[in-house]
Amino acid sequence: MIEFEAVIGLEVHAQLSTQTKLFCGCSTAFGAPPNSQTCPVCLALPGALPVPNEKAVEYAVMAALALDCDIQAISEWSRKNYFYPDLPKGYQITQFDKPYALGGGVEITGEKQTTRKIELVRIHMEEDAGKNIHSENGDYSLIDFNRASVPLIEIVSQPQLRTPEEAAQYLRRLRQILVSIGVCDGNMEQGSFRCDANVSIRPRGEKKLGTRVELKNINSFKFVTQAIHFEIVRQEQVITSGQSVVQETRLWDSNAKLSKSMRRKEEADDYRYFPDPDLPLLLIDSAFIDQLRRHLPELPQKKLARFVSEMGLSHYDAQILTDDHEVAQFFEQAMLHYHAPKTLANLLISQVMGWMNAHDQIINKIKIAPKDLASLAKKIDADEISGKIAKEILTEILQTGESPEQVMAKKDLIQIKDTSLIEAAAKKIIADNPKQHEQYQAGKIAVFGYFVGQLMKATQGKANPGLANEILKKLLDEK
Amino acid sequence: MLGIDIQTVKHIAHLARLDLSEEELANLTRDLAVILQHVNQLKKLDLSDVNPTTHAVVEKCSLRKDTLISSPPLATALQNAPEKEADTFFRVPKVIEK
Amino acid sequence: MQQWTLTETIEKLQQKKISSVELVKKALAAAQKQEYLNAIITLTSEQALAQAKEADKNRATGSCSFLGGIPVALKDIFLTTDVRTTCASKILNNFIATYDSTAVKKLSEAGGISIGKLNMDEFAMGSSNENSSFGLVKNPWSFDRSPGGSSGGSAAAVAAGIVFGSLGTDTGGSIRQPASFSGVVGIKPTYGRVSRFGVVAFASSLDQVGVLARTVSDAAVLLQAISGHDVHDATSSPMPVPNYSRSIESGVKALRIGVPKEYFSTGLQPEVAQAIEAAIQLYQKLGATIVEISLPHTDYAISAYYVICTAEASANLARYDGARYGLSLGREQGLASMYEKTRDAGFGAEVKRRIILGTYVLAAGYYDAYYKKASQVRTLLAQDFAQAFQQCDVILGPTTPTTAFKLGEKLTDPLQMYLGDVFTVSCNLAGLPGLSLPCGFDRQNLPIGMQLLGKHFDEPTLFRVARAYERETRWHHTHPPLFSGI
Repeated sequence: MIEFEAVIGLEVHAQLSTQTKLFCGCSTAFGAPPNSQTCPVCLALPGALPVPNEKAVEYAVMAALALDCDIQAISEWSRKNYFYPDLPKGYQITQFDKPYALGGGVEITGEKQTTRKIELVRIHMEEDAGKNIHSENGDYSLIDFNRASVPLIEIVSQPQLRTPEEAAQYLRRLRQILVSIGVCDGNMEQGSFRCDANVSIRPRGEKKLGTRVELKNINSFKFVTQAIHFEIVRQEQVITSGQSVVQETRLWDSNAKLSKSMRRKEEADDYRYFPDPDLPLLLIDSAFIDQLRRHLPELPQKKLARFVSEMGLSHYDAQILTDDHEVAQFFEQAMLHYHAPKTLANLLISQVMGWMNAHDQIINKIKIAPKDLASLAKKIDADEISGKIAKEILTEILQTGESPEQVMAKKDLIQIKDTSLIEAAAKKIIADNPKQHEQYQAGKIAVFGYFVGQLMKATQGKANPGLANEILKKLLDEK
Repeated sequence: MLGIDIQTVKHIAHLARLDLSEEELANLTRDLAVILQHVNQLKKLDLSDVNPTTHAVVEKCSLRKDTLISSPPLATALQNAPEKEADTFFRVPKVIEK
Repeated sequence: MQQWTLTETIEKLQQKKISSVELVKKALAAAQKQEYLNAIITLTSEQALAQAKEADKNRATGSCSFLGGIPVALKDIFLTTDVRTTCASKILNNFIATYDSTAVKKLSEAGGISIGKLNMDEFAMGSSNENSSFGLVKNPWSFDRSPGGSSGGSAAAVAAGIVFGSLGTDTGGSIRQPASFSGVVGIKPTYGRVSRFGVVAFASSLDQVGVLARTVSDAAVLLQAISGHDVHDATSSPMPVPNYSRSIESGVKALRIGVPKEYFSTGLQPEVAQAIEAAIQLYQKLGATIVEISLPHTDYAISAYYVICTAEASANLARYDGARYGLSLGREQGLASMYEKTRDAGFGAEVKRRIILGTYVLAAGYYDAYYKKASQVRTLLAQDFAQAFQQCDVILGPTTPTTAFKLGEKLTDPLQMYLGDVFTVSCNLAGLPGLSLPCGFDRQNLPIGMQLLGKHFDEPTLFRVARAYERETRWHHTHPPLFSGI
């Protein structure tokens, strides 16, 4: 039985979140009425000409900086020629011979926490095509050109991934980086982050690459591992049955959970790439790059390391907090109000994010502000409220959006610090529980916890824990 | 250099989505051969140290600001459409497998 | 009024000796009278008269544009809102433009009133205006001759006196050669001088918008109106636009005029050679220094040109596919059929020929041998000119090897047609400005044209050198027999 290893390379198309398209001033807003965001340029009327979007170049360079690429001072726009209804000019403007960025990489964590850098081949800029909607019954397609000429960067990895899980991790990391620097919104379902996989297999130890198959239509993270795993197994079966893998493009069918060969539209396309004569050379000078580098937001990996080293958080907690850069932002804003990383982290991770998961909410939409989380944390640390009370308050805030003070007043959760009140309650409890009092006095220290519990119950949890402990101890020790 | 034969011209015509008649194919094959015969004179030149030129005058690409320009109305976009659907989409035939 | 130049007419308008409406009416009448030339595809009389009325009204209240409401016309390659723009092709036969080309906008704002869209070779591909789906154009000097191409209609309309000037485009000589054949002035400015936005693209790195007019000064005034940077064209130059007319009368003393030896060894019609020789001598008399220069790669220019322009054209014409506008056929048999039948029926023979050639030279396996080589030769040609311009300020030679050929004469041999462009194509490949002006007639009373090539953005020197010759001669006052002369 030959043992195979998989060789996987990923091509990611990320939409740059500019306001306007790559080559014209039409809006890129998602969900607009079909063909309402078009103009002579993106409709390819006769005589129309492309003029590149400066912000798209900025975002593209920022992405390349974040991914550690070699940015080319001079790059070229090319025409990729083919006929398809969603391609209005009959060619796509892309970068073939001379892309704007080469090399770079994405770190992934393998087994036993070892990190490995998956190298990139290149990144280039290109325009998106329109949307082709196939009618179910009719013999026609409907075309919406709103998406035509939206700016994309295509990030091509070296075929250094070996498992579907690694592929998913690479994608997650890549997406995280692009989202955290603000150049892409990473929305796979809306199509602003797309992935095609190139998969081949070879006998373990073999250096030559096997025939590779291109997998398309993987449009959610869920399907990435499924699709690649299916393809690896399929190829193994093909080879072990004595046949050869056909070089082809296959589409992932997420319902049937299998990949299907794309029906050959025509013979292998000859794209006849040549430099686009409508667009002179793209010059990216070092001053421009330096300025962008200076203003580049902190990358997720760096942030994680900083949370661990500067704030003393565990790697585990830091990972959770920095995974989503908006969560990280929330955390850091809360820290500005009250610098208590461990308390805040605990509250945020176990309470707030727990609630978010249960209610399918994202952090930007929750009703608590960072400063309010900070104020709650402060109260906990100052012993003004117990952890249990804090949880109650938090839940109420998340549901209603009121401030901690409002909730506390409303629910009468203001802590009892009145010693006479606590004493009175404590005395009653001790009187009501003579047996336990005897046990305690006999030396069973553990019973103390019982009295604490009872006192908390009697005061609806509002008794100041420190005072409660002090008073109970004093009273219990009395003969 | 490869000779120009009708098969090549047929393939090229397909790449260019031109449905040529047999007569047109024959004429074009002949024309192409004559023209390329002349063009082949370029082989006589030593171009080893010469960089190609795509842009003779304006070298640097000018960029534009990411400022929204309101798109012309939908009716204008569809004005010359040979076929449209619900005054909203461009309509084209589907690919028909032969 | 028979022989007013544009500049003279502008003065008359300002002096209220004539109105814009009168001028436009005369132009429309002339267009009708000379319909047999077939120079016009679409007449826009209503719009023209409305604009003329507006111009007269503005003049009455003192706010007038600098051209003041002069009748002009536009090659049907310029997009004009709400007016049919066909490019002389079946594939755009009913295409109504939904936006204006920048050059047209500028000309209109400057006070040029277009009376219509002019005939041309389909998609600007041709040198005789015999490749139009609207039929050929006749040379006003001899109705059995070609007016040249691809801006044949533009040249004929000016030569016949229908309009004062016209806009054309020049990719390999398509303004200068018709100007030469039709006895008018034609200028292709430096690449990037005039915006290409809204001009149907043939070969993007070679196309330039230019002007045809009766005199050198007229051409300068019209070119002034349309020159300048355009944010909608990434190849448009930000170089400031000088006043083309300021030193137009300064003469040629101390200027150096280069004469390429290669231009005189290529099968020139004897009268053409003689006319150029006479022009050289006149320039010498006027105080210019004549320098013999060499443009060693001249012989390779046609090959490089026809590889590059067809390659770019093959991609530029891919958008004509029956999907979003224009002719659409064969839809019942599916997508492939729509593409193929539309394009087969929509494009004429010359366009198909160039698309096939262009697709071929970019195809896998042929790219290096053809497209890459041609782009390298382009560098060599640019170097030839750079060297030459170290020794001279302008380059002089014939615009075309012969005078206007007979209609139908060159249709059977495409290569022969291409070879006639030998003097004009290098200029486009190098992006230099080029001007053609009349310099005589042959025995059959057909116009001979002289070409001047200048350094990048040195249009003022071109105009100045051309004007120096023009004012010593009477060619620009000579008109064809049925000249309407508004």
